[in-house]
Amino acid sequence: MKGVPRWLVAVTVSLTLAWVVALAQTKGTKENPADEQRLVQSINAALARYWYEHQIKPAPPASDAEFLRRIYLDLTGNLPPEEVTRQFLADRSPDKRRKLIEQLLDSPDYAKWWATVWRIWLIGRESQRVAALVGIRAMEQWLQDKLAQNVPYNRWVYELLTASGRTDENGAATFFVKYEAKPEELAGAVSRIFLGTRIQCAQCHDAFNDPRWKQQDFWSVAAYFARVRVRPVRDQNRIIAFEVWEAPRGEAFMERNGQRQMVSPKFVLASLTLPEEPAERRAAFATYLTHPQNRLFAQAVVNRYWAYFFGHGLIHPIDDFRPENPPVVPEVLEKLTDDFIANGYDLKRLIRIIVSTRAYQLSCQAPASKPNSPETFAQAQLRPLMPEQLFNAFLRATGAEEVLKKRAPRLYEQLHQFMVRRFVLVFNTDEEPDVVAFEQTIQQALMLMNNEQVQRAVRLAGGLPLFRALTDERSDEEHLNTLFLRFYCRYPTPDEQRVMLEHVRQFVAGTNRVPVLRGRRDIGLAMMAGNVPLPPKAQAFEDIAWALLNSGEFLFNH
Amino acid sequence: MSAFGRNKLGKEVQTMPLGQWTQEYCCGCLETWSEGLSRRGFIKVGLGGLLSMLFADWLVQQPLHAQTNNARKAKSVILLWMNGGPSQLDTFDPKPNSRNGGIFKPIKTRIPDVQFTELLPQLAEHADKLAVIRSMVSRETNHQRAQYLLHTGYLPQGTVEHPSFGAVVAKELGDENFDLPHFVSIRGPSFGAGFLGSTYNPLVVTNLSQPVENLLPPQYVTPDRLERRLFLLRYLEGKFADWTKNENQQRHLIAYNKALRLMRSPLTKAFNIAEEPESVKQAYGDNDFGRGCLLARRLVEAGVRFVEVYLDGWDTHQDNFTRTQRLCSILDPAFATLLKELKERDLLDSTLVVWMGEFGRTPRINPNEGRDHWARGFSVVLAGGGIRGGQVIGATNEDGTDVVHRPVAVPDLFATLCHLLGIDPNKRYYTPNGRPVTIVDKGQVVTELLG
Repeated sequence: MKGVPRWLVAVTVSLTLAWVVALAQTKGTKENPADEQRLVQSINAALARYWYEHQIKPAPPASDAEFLRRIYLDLTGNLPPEEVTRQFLADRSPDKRRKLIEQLLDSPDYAKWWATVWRIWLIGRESQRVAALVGIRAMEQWLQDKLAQNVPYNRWVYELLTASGRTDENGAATFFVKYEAKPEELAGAVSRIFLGTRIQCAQCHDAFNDPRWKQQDFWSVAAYFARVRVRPVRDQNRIIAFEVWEAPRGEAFMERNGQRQMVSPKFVLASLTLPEEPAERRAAFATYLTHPQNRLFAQAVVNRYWAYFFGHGLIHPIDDFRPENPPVVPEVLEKLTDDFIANGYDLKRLIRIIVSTRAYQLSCQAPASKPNSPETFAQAQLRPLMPEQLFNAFLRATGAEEVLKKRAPRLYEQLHQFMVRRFVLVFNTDEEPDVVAFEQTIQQALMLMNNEQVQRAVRLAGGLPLFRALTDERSDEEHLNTLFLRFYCRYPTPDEQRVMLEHVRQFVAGTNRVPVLRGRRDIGLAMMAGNVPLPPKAQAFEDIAWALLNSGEFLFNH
Repeated sequence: MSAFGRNKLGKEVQTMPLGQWTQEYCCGCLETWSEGLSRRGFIKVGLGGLLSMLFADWLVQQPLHAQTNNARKAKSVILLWMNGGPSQLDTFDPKPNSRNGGIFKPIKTRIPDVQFTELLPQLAEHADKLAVIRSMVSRETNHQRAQYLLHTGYLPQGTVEHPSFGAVVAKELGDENFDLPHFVSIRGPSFGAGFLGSTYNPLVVTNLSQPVENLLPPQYVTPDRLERRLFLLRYLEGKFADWTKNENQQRHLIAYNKALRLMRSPLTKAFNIAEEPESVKQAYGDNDFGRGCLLARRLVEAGVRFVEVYLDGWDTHQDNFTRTQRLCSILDPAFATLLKELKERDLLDSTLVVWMGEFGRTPRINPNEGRDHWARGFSVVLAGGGIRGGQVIGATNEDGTDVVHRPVAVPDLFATLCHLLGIDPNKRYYTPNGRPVTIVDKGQVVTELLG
């Protein structure tokens, strides 16, 4: 070993150890397909019983195309690339869905997308506020690390709720910045997010909607957060981060009958044989919250995930766990919860199980003259794309992503920033208000139909097949396939092909020829800038791309 | 169920004396409790009919709908929103004899014995049309929460997202077949429709030279091409709707239908303030608030129910006097010209004009020549729409530090607005989760305001 510095040995050894540990962890999550499969089957059986008892006819199974689009949007927040779609649809192997699920969960796209999802769940989208602006990125980075390593849910929630330090160094601390370290805000938020329970009404009086909660209860939860402090970190006059810490002193006070009254912390949210109480208030709360005896903690996240994948919770709305609001099919919630706790709060495993069920893999096609409503889980619902998903899908389908990333990364970054803001502004529904049924606005429709930037991308999509046609001689049918595969992740039906190609023929016949620009390398960019007159055929395909972009089949996850 | 370990249902529910909290803007959970757990089912619409109606609409221009006749006087609202909280002492409630009074002199108005400050000379001339409430009281001095309160009549509370009053007016008074949105917000974000759903969200005008963004496709998309595109879209939508029979698909179609109707509507020319004579534009003022007021008048004329015009900058913790003077030089001509024009066009009786911000400012002048947040006695001004003009409601004391006469709470103001518009303030809406929420939270109509 002569010549090898000792520090290098130490580093190598510790890296190897870390690797072995990491490997062991991943192994732990991947193995045991048999008992996962058994659980999936028993969920399928429970739902089948439920459908039978209620005389519900489930939708037919989802086609490969439907499944592919759905799983990509759900797990990565984006559409599959065209080549992936072609390969998947052509693949004849019987377990290709299982393999795809596995592959997506292992991809960096999963952790990146779910970090966004969790960030929205935890601190919302409010983009104007300084607090959020400073912390959003850091928090997503933090979440992404946890999710990529598949850190057990109870563990990272504990870390989140006890987070201290600067938000730019510990993104988890942003959670407390969002709620301005106000005990009453935090009490309401943690109960709602992590326990699916609303206690906010009890802030001012004993709750009427849910007689379990007295005002005293609310404040005994709030007392756990009475010592959190937040202060801005400045560089000259600019706020560059926030610092969060727990002060040694500080109490919560409730106002009752006009008098201020100190309330001590008490974990009233579940019945636990309380373990010894850690000295720090937040640590005590997090210990109780994530305690295996606190079944509600596991139930709430299982139900939240179920609602994410189905557009409807087993308990609905997801923040309304009350004895009077029982789950639709109790057995499903209980089985998933048991499994989740028994397997170490493994979120990837939970996802794998949910997306492997028959219910998740049903078609969105109505099985009869009447559709099945969301709470039956007997037909895939049309879930509006989240603004972030819509933006990703739009860039990928039109091809703007490839062209800009390759040829004009700066322009791409600018467009990305601008458009994300526009999309969030126009399509935003805030984190989780009292669930509003989906309603598209006039402004959203106008933006997708007419907005200049959107139109540029549509031009590009129209030109894309043609751009390829410059180098290979593909047929119009093949151009049409490209568009359908990119926007819908499927091939057109014969009828669609007939209608669309008829449009192309008519359009070309009715328009004067424009010289085709052969061999220009930057033709994609030029098309987007509007400098290139599109040849008639490309214009015809541009119209098709426009129609695909504005249609429900594109704008929903289904 | 073990999850609900601490189930107290068995115990008797101890109710508090109502008086203790009904006066607060509370969470409305009492209603849920007393009504039991009513859950609103989804509205089912026949799909076939809707689709054929929609698609027909795309092709056939709708005739303009005549305004419906109604006994109520006010049909529309123009809200002049003073963002940041304007100083009442330097505008409508001068205190010349107090050291809190500041530097501006009082001037006479058209109302006997009532003075404004010298910053509002034109409005003083129109004071016979105004009802000035000098005794607004609230408890909320945090901007965000107070803005929510003065827009919705409720304090923010957890997960219920209350609708902005503009959305309520749009829902209650708006004609479904009207081409334009019934709630327009000029230069400001306003507050959205909350649980009423995005149908009633405001159309937000940020750029007055291009008021409706994305109203038309780029020029190279000729009308003929747009028709071709719509033909393809119709074809795709029809198939998908038929396949899924899903109500979200229907909602999507409704939005597109409305958007297309807006694109083709002759009423959109109401947005084009360039048509106005130069003299009129000058009278309103060559600035965005002036142009916004002019646009508001044109929109109300076209039949829009609620227009909010936003004037920002009133949060004068420093330099209160310079800044308030500058803002009033924008406000005074615009507000006065708006009143004059509404009167001339016979629209004042049917248009309720409301001037307010989220709160007022401290009587005490701070060391930075500024005034801070103050909700215990601030001014709101109303005009038109059945308001008895030429009067002052309530009063603050000599120093402006307390309301000494006729305090008016925020729900009282909202109840009065409802009354003038013929909206039942006690009407219950249901949030999507079935929680009942009344339009106004137990306010009393301020009868002195009524004409």
